[in-house]
Parts: sequence; structure tokens; C-alpha cells
Amino acid sequence: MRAHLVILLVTGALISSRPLVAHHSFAAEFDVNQPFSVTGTVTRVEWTNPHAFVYIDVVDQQTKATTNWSIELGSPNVLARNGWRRTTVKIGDVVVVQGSRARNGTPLGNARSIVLASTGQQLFAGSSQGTIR
Amino acid sequence: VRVILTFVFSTAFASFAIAQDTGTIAGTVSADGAAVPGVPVQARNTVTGETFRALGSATGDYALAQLAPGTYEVSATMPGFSFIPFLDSNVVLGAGQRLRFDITLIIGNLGTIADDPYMYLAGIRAKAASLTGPAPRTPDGRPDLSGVWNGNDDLFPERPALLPWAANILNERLQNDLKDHPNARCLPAGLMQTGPFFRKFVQTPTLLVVLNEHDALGFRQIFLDGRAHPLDLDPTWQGHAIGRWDGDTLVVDVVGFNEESVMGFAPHTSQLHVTERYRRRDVGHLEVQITAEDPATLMKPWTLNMVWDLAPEQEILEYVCAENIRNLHLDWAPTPSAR
Repeated sequence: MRAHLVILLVTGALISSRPLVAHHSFAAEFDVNQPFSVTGTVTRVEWTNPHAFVYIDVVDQQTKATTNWSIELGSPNVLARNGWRRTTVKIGDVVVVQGSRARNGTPLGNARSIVLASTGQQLFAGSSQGTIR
Repeated sequence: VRVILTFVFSTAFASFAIAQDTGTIAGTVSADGAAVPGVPVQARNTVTGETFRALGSATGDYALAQLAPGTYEVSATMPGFSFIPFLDSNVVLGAGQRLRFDITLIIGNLGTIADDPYMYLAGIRAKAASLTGPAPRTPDGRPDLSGVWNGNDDLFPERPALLPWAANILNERLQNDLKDHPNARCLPAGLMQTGPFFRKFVQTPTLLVVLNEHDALGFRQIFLDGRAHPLDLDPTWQGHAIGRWDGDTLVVDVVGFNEESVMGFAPHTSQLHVTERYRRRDVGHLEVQITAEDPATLMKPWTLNMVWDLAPEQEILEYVCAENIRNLHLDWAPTPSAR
């Protein structure tokens, strides 16, 4: 699975882009120079406009402290048109999330990839990674 | 007389030069080391204003041939890439030269899931673009524009000829990643917002209703009953729109804008006058032309030409922008911990 993830990371870097017109500019919010990859347990899913959010509890392996990350996706309308549902990620799922971290340093990031840790199943994918209908 | 003679001579000479010594500007469009397919590339002669256009290939290659020697402004605007288009205004082409000119697009490198409708709706757009058949007509013989339309941008957008005050504001907005765009505050962007967003047209003999999924207001009314604009309009985000048929083209005249919405990404004044032309050239395609005139902002009218695709399997979805807004730079947006 490790090799699989590395490939996803590289692919993500190649295809990722800044949308011309979105609800807001992700580049204004998130710093491409602060990529992150975290593994955590889903605590909440907000299937809301203008952007969906997935919240995960991430445990620091050193300090054992838990931090709740909020992970921002695109709009539910675009997610739904790609076949993803509000139930694609469920509370309690352990997921690996990759993306770029918020410029203000809070535990907030955009999501470029969300993978189910137990099986490696790609739940949500960046634009060239998933099934695009 | 001397001026005229000089002009005639130089024109004749230029024609001769074009016939004898044209060259080619060609290269590859890439971003972050990978080729970008299908990018529209444009070269404008900085002296004559003559413009040449080409679409890049699947492997990112483009070629603009039969160009007279001279200095060109080469530009490329690709949906999904930087707000700031690629632009080099000093590309010098010699007589008979084949100039290799590679283009590198800027990417934000964020790739947020489902945030870029150009990429995520590519399948829907490709399917819609393949529809064939004549445009349907209403019982009274007019073209029927009804249907769900997925917008596209102008492939070769003209740049607005902005007066300095407006150019300065546009530049500032581009530099700060459009963080103050009205949409970022869940406010309407205005009529000049283009892109891959769904709109449903519902046409009656006297009224065209446009249900706009993406923009904050969500609806437009275009009156087709022959009324004129009211004399004393209160300025509004979308203005007052009246339409009339010019053959098979619906011509919509819009005035009465406030100064809050954007024109592309540029500002405008309440003098903005928008003319829209809609022609359903076949069942699956709507030709859309939007022209903005605003003498307080633009040195000359600014026109965008687009072709929108029918998306018959799509329905307009609810989009309540204020439902969960939390942009980090908005001091009034709730922070994650406040929810």
C-alpha cells in the first residue's frame, strides 16, 4: 500500500491545478508549500455548500495528543455528479488524507486524496485519480 | 498625400513580405513538467494587431503558421490553471523562421477534490457535446432555448481594454488570488461570470427564466413581452433584462447594474450596459455572446464568445452558499471550532 500511496502523491502533483472559478480561491486559503499527509478517524462529515468537510481525529505518535483536523473538499453538487455520496466517508472510518495545509497554520487542509486505511480503497480522489463520469 | 503613399507602399511591401517570408511559432505547453493537452494559444502581431489562433494537441504541441515576421504577443488561457493567463508580449519572429516557443502554465498545485468543475465535469461535457439534431421550436415558431445548459468559457478570450483605474484593481485582485471575489462572500458574481456551471432555461412566449445553480442569486428574468427598461432603475446585481428576437437569435439588453458585481474579474461602474446574444445552433449547442460596454471602465466594448452544451441528464441542484462558509480571510465567517 505504501508504494500505491507514493504513486498517488506523484500523480496528484502532476494534475493538480488552481480552478479558474470556484466558490473561493483555494490558493488564497491553503499553502501548496505545506503538503500534509495525516491518518485519523472520521468524527464528522458536513455535506454542505459551498464546500463539504470531513473531520478526523489525528493522534500524535510522540505525544499521544489528539488533534481534530478539518478537511475541505469541493461542493457537494460536483461531488454528487461524480458519483460520490454523503455516505462515502462514514464516522469511525480510519482514513489517510493528503492535501495542502491552511496558510494560517491551523489543523485545516484541502483534500487531494482520501484513502480508507484498512483496505487502501480510494474514497475520494483528485481529478485524474477517480472515476470521472 | 505623402502619408497615403507611404501607407500604400508599406501595405504593398507587407503583403510581399508575408507571401515570401512567413514563419512559424511552435512549441509545447506544459505545467509542472507535464504536457497540458488542448490549450488554446494565441499570437497577436504587436504592430498590425493581426491575431493567429491554434488549439494544442493531445500531447501539448501547438503551431501557429504563416506569420509575418515581427514582434508577437503570445498568450494562453487554460481553464483550471492560474487566474493570471500566460502572456509574453515580446516574441520576435524572423523572416522565414520556425521559432520554438514553449509555454509553461502556472498551477496552484492544490488539486482539491471536486473543486475544479472543468476536470470533474469533463465526462458530462463530452457527452453533451456529442448531441446532434435540429434545435427545437416553440408552437409560435421561435427557437426554444429551454433546457439545462453547462457553460463553457471563451476559448480565446479577448482581454478587456480597461482604463488604468480598473486595470489596477484587476491586477491587485489577481495578485491576491481573488480573495475578495463576490462569490467568496456568497454574493453574486454578475452576468460576465462564465465557466462550467449549470443553468436551466425555461422559455415562455413572454418571459425567459434562467435558473442559475452556481451564482448566489440563483435566478434571472428576461422579459420578452416588449416592455422597455424602466426610466428610473434602482441599481441591482444583475440589472434589468429585456429580450427580443433577431431572426433565430435572442438579443438581451441589460442595464441598471450596481457597482458590486465583477466583469470577468475586473470592476465596472453603474454605466455598465450588457448585450447578450443567444442562438441554439442545434439541439445540443447554444452559442452565447456577451458584450460589455462601460465608458467609465472600458476603452472599447468587451466581447466574449462561448458555446454551451446541453446537459439533458442533469438537473439544477440546490446551492446555498451561505450554508457553511468559512473562508479564513473573512473575519465574519465562523471558524471550524465555532461550529
